[in-house]
Amino acid sequence: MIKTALLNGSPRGERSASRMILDFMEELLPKEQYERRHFSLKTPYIDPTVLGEVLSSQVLLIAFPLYVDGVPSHMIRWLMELERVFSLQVKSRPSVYALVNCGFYEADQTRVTLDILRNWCERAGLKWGQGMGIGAGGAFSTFRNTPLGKWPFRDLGGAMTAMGLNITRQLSGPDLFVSPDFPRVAYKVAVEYSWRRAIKHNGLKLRDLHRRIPLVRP
Amino acid sequence: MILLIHDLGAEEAKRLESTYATETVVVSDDGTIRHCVGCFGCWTKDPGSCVIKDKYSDMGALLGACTQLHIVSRCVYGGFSPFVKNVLDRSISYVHPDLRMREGQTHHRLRYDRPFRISVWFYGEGITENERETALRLLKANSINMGCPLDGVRFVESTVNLKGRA
Repeated sequence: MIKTALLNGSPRGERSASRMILDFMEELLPKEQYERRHFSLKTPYIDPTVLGEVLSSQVLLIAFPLYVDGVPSHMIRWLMELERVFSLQVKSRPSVYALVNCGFYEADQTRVTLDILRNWCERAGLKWGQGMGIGAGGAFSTFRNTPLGKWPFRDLGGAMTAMGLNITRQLSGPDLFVSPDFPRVAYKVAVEYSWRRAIKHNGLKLRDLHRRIPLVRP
Repeated sequence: MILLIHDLGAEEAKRLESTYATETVVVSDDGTIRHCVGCFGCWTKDPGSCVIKDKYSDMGALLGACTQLHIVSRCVYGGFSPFVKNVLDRSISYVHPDLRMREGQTHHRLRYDRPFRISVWFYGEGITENERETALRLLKANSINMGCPLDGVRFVESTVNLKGRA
């Protein structure tokens, strides 16, 4: 069995798009060959049990949301700790496959972050397998029950199948960038409607969405 | 007003901060910062402010009021250190949740009218060529995302000779 750690770096944990993406990928890895275990890295606090499980894995699947064009801060702490412990351990180094989703429509806004992960692999002595950037991450909560390969996840299905094959063959591949199958303008309209619905749900007025806070010196 | 965000230890911080004018607002690591939990409360529950109420909850307003943003950060894999990134993650109330096209891609609409200029100093021994290249592209992306001109990105081995432009 190939021990595979599915690492969810979203602070939203089980309810996140990252978890949904990891679930999609898990389905593409034959359970007769892959021992697939999920771990949530939702806080910066390093859990030694999780660290031990990650260290003994042969494949790491890392998924998280793009935060300010980069890796969420709590995940950077995990990456630094993993670099430290992997550099002490020479016997086995897993292959790393990463899936980064962003709230913007264009998947390639995750490109820099995949490079940050590639740089981390270089520092930690890990084998970089492949990265995937996924756009329009805000759509995942709306289509929570839609299976991979069905609209609007047809293109995503194709890209994930390609990455899944690379994982099963232990191969590296070029980064892939994919967005759900609907036009950018439809995503923009849907996202902006969802913010207005949320702000009214929270008992505020629509104009509060535009609120500017006067500076109070710390 | 200059807003300085740094991750330096006490001694280095004192030396750097002493080179800035007194009206500079300094955001530094006192070990109390909490991480962004992805709740979007800064857009839909208390728009403009982070709903985690600590000394970093009004970063959006600070960015909206400053004319220059100076960042001094350890270079970590071509990105910011955990503390500096934490401050930036807690700053998304600076932008509005609606989307606009900038440079051919969707980005957030800006909440405040006046953009600030960004200058960054990355420090650390043995920053690799790939990390430098990644960091430059990261700052270019940040600059587009926040609608703010980028004044410069510099790489230094040590923070000893860093000076603010007071």
